[in-house]
Amino acid sequence: MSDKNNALLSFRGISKAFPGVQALNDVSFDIQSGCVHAIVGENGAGKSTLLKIINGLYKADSGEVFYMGKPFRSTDPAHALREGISMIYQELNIIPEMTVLDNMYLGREKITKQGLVDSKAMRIEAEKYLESLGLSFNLNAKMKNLSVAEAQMLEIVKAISIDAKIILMDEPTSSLTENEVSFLFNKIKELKENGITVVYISHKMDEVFEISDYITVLRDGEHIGTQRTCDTNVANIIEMMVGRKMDEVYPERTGEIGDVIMRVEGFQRQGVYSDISFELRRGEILGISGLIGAGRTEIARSIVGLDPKDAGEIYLNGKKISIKTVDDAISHGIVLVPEDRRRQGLNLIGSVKDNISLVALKHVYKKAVLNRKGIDELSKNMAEELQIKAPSLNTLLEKLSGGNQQKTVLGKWLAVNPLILFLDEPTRGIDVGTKYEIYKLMREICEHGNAIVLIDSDMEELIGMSDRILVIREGRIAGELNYEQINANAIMRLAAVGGKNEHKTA
Amino acid sequence: MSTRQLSNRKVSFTEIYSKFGIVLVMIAFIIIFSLMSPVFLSKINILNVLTQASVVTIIGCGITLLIITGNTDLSAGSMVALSGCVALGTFKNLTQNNMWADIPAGIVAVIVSVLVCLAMYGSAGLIITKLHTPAFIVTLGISTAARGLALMYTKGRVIKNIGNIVKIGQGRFLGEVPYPILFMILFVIVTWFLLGRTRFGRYIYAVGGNSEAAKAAGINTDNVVLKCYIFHAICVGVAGVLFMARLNSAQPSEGVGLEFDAITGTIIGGASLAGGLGSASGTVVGCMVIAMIANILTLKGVLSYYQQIITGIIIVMAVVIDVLTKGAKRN
Amino acid sequence: MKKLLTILLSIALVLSLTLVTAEKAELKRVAFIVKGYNDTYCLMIGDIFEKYAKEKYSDLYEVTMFDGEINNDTINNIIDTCVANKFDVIVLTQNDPDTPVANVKAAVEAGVKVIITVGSINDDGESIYIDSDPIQQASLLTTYAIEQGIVKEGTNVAILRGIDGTFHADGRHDGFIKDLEAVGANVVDDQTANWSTSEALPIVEAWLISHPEIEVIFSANDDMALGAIQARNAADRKDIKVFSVDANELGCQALIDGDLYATVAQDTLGYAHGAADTAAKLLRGEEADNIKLDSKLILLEDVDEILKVVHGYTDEEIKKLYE
Repeated sequence: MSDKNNALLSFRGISKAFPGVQALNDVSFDIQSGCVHAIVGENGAGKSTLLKIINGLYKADSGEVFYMGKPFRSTDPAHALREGISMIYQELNIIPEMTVLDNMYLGREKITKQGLVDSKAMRIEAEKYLESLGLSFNLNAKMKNLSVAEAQMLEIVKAISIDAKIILMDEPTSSLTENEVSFLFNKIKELKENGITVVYISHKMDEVFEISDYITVLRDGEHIGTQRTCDTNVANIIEMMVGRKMDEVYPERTGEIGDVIMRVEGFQRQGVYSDISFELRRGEILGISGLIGAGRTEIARSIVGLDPKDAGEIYLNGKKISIKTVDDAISHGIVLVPEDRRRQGLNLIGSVKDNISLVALKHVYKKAVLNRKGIDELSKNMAEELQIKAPSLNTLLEKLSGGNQQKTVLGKWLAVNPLILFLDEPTRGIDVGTKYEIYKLMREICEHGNAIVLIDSDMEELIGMSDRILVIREGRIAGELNYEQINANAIMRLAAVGGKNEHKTA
Repeated sequence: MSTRQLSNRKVSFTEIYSKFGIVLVMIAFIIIFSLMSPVFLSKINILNVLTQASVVTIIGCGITLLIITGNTDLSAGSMVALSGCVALGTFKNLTQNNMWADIPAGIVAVIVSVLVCLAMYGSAGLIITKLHTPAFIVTLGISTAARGLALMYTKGRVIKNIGNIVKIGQGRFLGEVPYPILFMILFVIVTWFLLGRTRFGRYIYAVGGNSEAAKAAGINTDNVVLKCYIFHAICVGVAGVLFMARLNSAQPSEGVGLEFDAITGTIIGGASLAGGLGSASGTVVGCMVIAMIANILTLKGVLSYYQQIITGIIIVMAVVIDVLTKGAKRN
Repeated sequence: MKKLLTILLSIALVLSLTLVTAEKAELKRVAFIVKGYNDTYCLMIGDIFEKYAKEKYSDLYEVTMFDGEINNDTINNIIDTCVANKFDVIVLTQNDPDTPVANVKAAVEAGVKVIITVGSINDDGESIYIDSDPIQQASLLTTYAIEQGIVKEGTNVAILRGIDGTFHADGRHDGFIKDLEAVGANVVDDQTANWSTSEALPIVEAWLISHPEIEVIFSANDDMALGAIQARNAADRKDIKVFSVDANELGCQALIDGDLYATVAQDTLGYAHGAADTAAKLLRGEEADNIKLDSKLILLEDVDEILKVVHGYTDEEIKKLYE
């Protein structure tokens, strides 16, 4: 490790504990100025915690942070911001009713001489800035109407528009398309040229190796090692992260693909999707690809009864079934694990047990009075099976890491033994080790004769896991690729209209 | 299941508080108040306090459900007046004009009171869920309407000489325990069971914690909220009869502010106005604390103006402590 | 379940701490429950009571005042609490004749003596009352107005009522109506302002616009009359004559200023002194009877005496009012 005098940011002996969990334990390493420094590790390794200590959201229990050679302790994010430390959070904290413009200038609004907020000046500056970046956003759109990807792009734009010396990015690309990721990486390179330091947390090895100069590995709150990116490789890093060798990233299919279990015909919803018909076979993982906004999630939501449809029929094992509500779908064994776990997947002030058992209350234990012993056991078994890391079953969900939260959502739906699972971006914001666990789980589910529909924007993952892929373009099925035909180019050709993708906002 | 255990876990005050919270406050108050006044813990005073807290606590049971789902009710006071007046008026009519016996007339009176509440709160529930109107506004409207209806029903006067139904508010079981206290215990137990031991209870917390996620899980969130308002209607209906019975006559202008006492008690007891949190035990403790404070101030002969100030301060303190420790829970 | 057990345990624990002995007071204790500090008349009664009792009976009993907040539930709770607090006598200015009945009966059963003043309650004689006849009070005004020719057949009059359903409000209203109907006056409007100045003001303001023909206003109390006077003066309608009951401080002032035509004094001292004397009698173990008081018509020539005797004004202060 180099002398800390050259380093922009240094950690010496940082430790932080929460009730039941030692999040960081004696972590020490340096971050060089003007570099892109990646921090990787499994869920709960302590990456987010470390960033939040820099940012001032948390206070370290012991140890010191040195910023530009001097001891530094941030009191709150606003203070960190003033000191030149800007952060993009993993879990987007947006105010739903706020407009894009107001959100961009949150905390640094322009004030007129009379002391009022100068919306006009803000708007002019924002439009110019977005244009210079080659982006278009509807400044009047409300945050709640943006898609997850758009919201994430906005966060990035915000962070780089502020005059920061160092930008902390926590999983910035989890919802982005390839084009958007390229855009981001170009910006990061520009920032580097201007001497700005970027600290980058990600699970995506390919990105980490593409963009970073240094990689730090954390495991179970401890610093395992910091290396120059050019001196190491993926296998090495993963081994450091996980503590053991990783043989393969995507497990192979183990079972057979059987006959058709579900057939969807003629699904149509004006302005959203039309002419959607496909089959799903036992034991298979059907990947659904497409650009963001193509309508994939909407199709799934209509199938499970969460959103209405204009027309369409579903056949389960040859028999026509009617799904009008989510309850109907669950009774038939068709469930959807939603895209945005924070908004649609979890009750954050509920406990692990509350969340895991929620759907099972009606569909497994049908009685009105709770079978508390049964629920406890079910929750315990599911949590063990999925290896959910939490101090106890009664821990509140908001205290769990993103990966464990996602496992809880999965557990909730697996608890009712579904026939068909629709998974919408199931590994968003999750570390490599946990992802692998989920992949294995998916294979297991299919091995038992069930089927999975996988909606995914992570091209590699989609290709690695799918037995067959449907590509959706502008609400219609653009094409189908069977196993031998699957490759990234083929998918992109079907998915893209052949040109720039713009951000469509409401 | 847990990965890393902490080796030296110190048990902090906030941890103890977040588990037992307001109960500790109540115990502290009981000890302090009993030292301040020698009669505070006398049997007659304890029964007084419990009786005085009964109506508010019963209302609080219903309100707890509403608050957990993220709704509220600003009309409980007026509805108590309306349903109580209608109940007593009905009883008087049945026993004195139609020569019914007391017990059947009493039962009919309570049923009528609950029906009135079901009509109003059922409508409110429908407007709130189907028309997506905030509960704050809708129940505020109900409050004004109910007050007017009460005055209309009694023609602006007080209905006197009701008859024996007033025993339900003033009488004692076995000559010892006032009936209102028994009703309160009954409602608290039912509410505790509902919230903690039934699927419906879990759904209430789920809707309050994240209604979108609840919908995605197949829960009919509108139905859940509607059923909460129905339960609340039953609480208010019974509370109305008890309240008016204690007043010995049907008074259409009475009961002002009961909803705020109930809401305050529920919040002190650990519920969150944002939804998703709350409990029957908490509400009981919260309402007791409020009643105890009013009681000790009267025992000490404190001027009523100071009473209001002191009560306000103590309530704010209790809630601040609760928020701080909830915040600690979240971090 | 844990919480429920904790609550029960803690209550049991504290109950076992109740080995504190009661203070032994030498003086007897009398609680005076004012129906509400916002009711100027009853508050005044309370003040007079306290002063008189201190002068005359300071070796027999001490007085503690309570505010009923003009709320029947509050008043009932205070009665119960005072019984628990072992008061010897409870004096209550009446707010409603029925609501406190059960609580008063319970108090009497517990050995506490109860005196009701400025009204009575329907408790079959469990308590002792001190009251006047509200019909008589109203009638004094209407009779005088008729004698003076201010009110005759066809005169347009309006009435301001107190809180409907209460003994004094209903009684005074009946007293007004009885005489007005007998003489054939035209009652243009008849509204309740709930004893309050602030409620009477907008009502009379509206009357001046919708019923400009009003010539006389009869108000059940001074406070409401003051609201009427304010509205009347602001609209430059000093021709309208206002009559009311109470002879409270501001009412007397209004009489002197010529705004109020006449008022009626309840035997205020009688209410207060009577209660204090009755309390003393009961505490000494003597018999005490109910007291029925007479009211008096108060015109300009009578006002000085009221100010002096009831409100404790000095000659200096009275002279100032005339300036």
